[in-house]
Amino acid sequence: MNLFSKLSLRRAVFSALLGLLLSAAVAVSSIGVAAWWGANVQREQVNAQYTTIAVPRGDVFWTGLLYENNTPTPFSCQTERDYPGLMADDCRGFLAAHVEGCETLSAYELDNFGSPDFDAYGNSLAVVAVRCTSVAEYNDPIQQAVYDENDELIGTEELIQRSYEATFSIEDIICRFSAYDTVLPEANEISFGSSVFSAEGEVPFEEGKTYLLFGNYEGPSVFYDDFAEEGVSPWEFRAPEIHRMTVSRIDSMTSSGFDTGNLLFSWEKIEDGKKIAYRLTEDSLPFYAEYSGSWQDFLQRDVGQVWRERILPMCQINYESAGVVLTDQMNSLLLFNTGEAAVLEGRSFDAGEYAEGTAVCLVSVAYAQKNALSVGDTIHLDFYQTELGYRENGNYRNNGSAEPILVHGPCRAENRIGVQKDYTVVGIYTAPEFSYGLHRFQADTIFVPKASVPNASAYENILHPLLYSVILKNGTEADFEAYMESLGYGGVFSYFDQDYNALAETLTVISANALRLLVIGSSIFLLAAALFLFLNFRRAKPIAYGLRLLGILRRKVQRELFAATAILTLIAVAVGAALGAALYRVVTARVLSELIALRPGALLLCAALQLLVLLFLAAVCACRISGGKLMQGRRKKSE
Amino acid sequence: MKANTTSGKALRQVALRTLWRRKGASILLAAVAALGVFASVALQNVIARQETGMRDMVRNTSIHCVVTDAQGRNSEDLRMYSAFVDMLTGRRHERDCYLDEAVKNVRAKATVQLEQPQGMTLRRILSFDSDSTLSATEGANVRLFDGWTEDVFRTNAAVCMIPEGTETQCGEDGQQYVTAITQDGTSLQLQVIGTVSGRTDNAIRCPFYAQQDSGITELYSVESCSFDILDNERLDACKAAVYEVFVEPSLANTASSRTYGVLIQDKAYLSSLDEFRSSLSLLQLLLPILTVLFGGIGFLASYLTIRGRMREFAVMRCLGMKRRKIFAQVFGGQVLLAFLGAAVGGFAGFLSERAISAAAIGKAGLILAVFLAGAALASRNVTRVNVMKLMKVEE
Repeated sequence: MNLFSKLSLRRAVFSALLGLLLSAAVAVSSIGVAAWWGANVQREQVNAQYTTIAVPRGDVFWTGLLYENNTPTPFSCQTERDYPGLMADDCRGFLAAHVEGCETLSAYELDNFGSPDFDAYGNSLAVVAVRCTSVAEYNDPIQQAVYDENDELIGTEELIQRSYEATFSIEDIICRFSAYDTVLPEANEISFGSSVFSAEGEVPFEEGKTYLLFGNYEGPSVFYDDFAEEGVSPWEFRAPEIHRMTVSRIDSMTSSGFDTGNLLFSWEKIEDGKKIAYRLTEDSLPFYAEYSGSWQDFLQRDVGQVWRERILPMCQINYESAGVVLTDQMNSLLLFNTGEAAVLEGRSFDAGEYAEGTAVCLVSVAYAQKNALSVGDTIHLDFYQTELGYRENGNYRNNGSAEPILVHGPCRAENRIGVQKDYTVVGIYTAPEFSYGLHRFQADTIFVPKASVPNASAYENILHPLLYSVILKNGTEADFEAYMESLGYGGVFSYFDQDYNALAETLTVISANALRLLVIGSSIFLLAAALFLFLNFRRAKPIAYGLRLLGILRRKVQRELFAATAILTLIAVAVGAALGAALYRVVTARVLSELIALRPGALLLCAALQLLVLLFLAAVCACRISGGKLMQGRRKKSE
Repeated sequence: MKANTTSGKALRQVALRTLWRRKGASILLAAVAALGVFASVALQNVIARQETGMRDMVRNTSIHCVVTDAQGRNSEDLRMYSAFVDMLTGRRHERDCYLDEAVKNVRAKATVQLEQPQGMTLRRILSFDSDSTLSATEGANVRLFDGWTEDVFRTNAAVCMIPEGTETQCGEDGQQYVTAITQDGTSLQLQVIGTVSGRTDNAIRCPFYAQQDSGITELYSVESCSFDILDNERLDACKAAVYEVFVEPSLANTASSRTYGVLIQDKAYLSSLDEFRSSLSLLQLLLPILTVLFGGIGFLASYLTIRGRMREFAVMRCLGMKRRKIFAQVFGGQVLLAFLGAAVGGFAGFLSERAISAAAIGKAGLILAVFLAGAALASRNVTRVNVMKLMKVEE
């Protein structure tokens, strides 16, 4: 048996106490390391609960920032610029979807008659059989901007805008969103006004003739009574029996710079001198068809084929449609970030669902209630790629306002992308049901993880504020803004941090504290290690000296000394690590936080590192003790 | 008596010389004490810093609350009686309702259509962020004339902001005015104090309580309302007060024009606070462990450093020295080393923090006391040596 081990056994109490000292130090430092590790995890987890975003301000022309080589490019993809604090861009995708068995929401149905634009282009699609009762044509002067060949504005010219207004008596409502039957007053007449003429440039309607009309169905015009009695709808219909059909909103749109909402039909301008009007392009769906006899017979004939096979099925599909936003982070959406929208039941998506593209979704409270959906239910989404645009608020309540309403084009057979999936509802969110704004969405919007749709990047549209946010590292918005200012884009973004700044200091304290714990733990370990080695080798020194005097080789003494110390060290570290783990468990069990719970991997790593340090120091000490010069030692002793 | 004094002085000198002779062990013992004190001071400082950080977080975090309908379907176009806003702002204290003692930063807007100016609306707001259409992200640009601040919207001043380009009348005082006539014929003469340009609607914005007395106000139909919790330290009490007037939104609730929900967005705050609290509890629990551990280490270190002097103690006993005196000599040395170490540890703790709190001194004192108790126990055990037995072994 190793002579030094024998010595340890002979002086068992001393050895045990020495080992215990080291074990205690290892335990304390393990607790320190575990606490440091836990605090770091905790800090990161708390940090991860907050999302700092930069969203473009609506009053400045910000999209220029997103262009590189004439292509809209997210910040993170712009290689030449290094934006401080920039973590990622959430380039969200947008699709429409046919949701089988789930009806879309109508603003009318939710007692919001303020703007028929909210219903475009889903449930507002309708086909009615009518008889023309009056037609009036108008020629209104308008100012049109004139540009030179360099696209510089050089002035305006006066043109004549042709339009017409027709009224019809309703023969039959062939296809209309079912809820309108109960919500809207009974319709006897329908009015129709447009600047879109026939292919020949003529008013397409004649008094006394019967037509099929297709377009967006709007309820009667209303005004809002602020003093309506309780239980009585504050919306009052001006002429309840007169409803309206529209194909376009050209007249109200041209000044705003927004998309015109021409997402259902396509048309082209026809100019006749100073007079301008529009006509449908050849590939556009028709918005009217003259018929004689019964409309049922018309639909059966060849001329009715497009109505029978395309328009009517399209209406039915759109009554069960919804907008779908594909996102990589719900909290980067402005409304969710500011708390105006929040998950009311269930939960939001987790990191795994975003990464793996799990088929899960969030629906609004209103949508869930209407379609009797609850958390855990499954809905079937059949995706369509539709255009996205804004309509200016035609709100009768806030008459004359210029607030935008986000609308998407209808689901059409030719836009179907061929992806259909069952999505599980994991959460139900609350948000303003129908609201105006560049960053706002309507209550029939479904959110899904972006990766759940194949080739999702094809459906991104970073030029729409709703579909783009810059995600910043928490607490770096000042640096980011300073950098943007240096590029000449100061004030382009607004920043939202979910009140992260209020706890930023606390997180800094936690970081510093975690480091201090590590330093305290390590100091205790190092001091105890020094004490352990000092006492252990002081005890072994005379024996080693004696062995060398007896002619035993230095290397052998050194090896035996190291082996004996290593065994003691190994036992002490193992006991210490176990003691540390047990104590830490006892403590953290009372604290009730999973984040600072003991991580065996971290503890093992710490113990292994401590063992390595001790073994290294033991090897150095063994080398020194066994390598002492015998003659000098004797002389010293004789002195 | 003199002989006693002389012998005491001699003993002290012997004790000091012994400490010096065994300087390795002495330094180690002092170092252990220093480390214990430093660790306790550092840990106490860590705890104190964490407590301060948590207090700051609790004080500075705004917990937003959004008023919805009872089911949580909608938070805009609420059509809620302004009496609810009156309760939140403290204008109504009926039936022991003191909601203003639970909430702050109330944001609300109410819009009425105007007969005049035609095509415009009058929007009563409590602050700019009451109206999302005033936000820069939506493209609005708000400009207040010199001398006016947003705070005026929390008063009942007869002032307003108008969309740029709105016609105004010049008053006798040289100021611009707008006369707003509502559908029921109520007329408000409002002084123009600012403009709104950019992408915005045709609304004249005035203080929520413009031209209202401080008593009971007119009833408006409020479109949207939100507020913050007044005091996060009393979060539960504040929430309870809020839920006395509002309900917790749930799909299971019955929709009613008299019942409104409030979504209190405290999830992230509470979750962060829980984590900070758990972290603090961990630190607080580490301190007793450290104390016990240093008691043990004190005993062990003392025992190991003085057990080698057993022969000395035996000789002292043979020379007639009392056990108590030997204990006093040995323990005195330990105390000296411990205090020396404690001073060094305390100083290191002070250097690391540039301050030392009374609590830290208390904790350091406790650690030192436990350490010395361990040392005393070790000294007692070692100095109670059986001389005969020891001599026998040495023979």
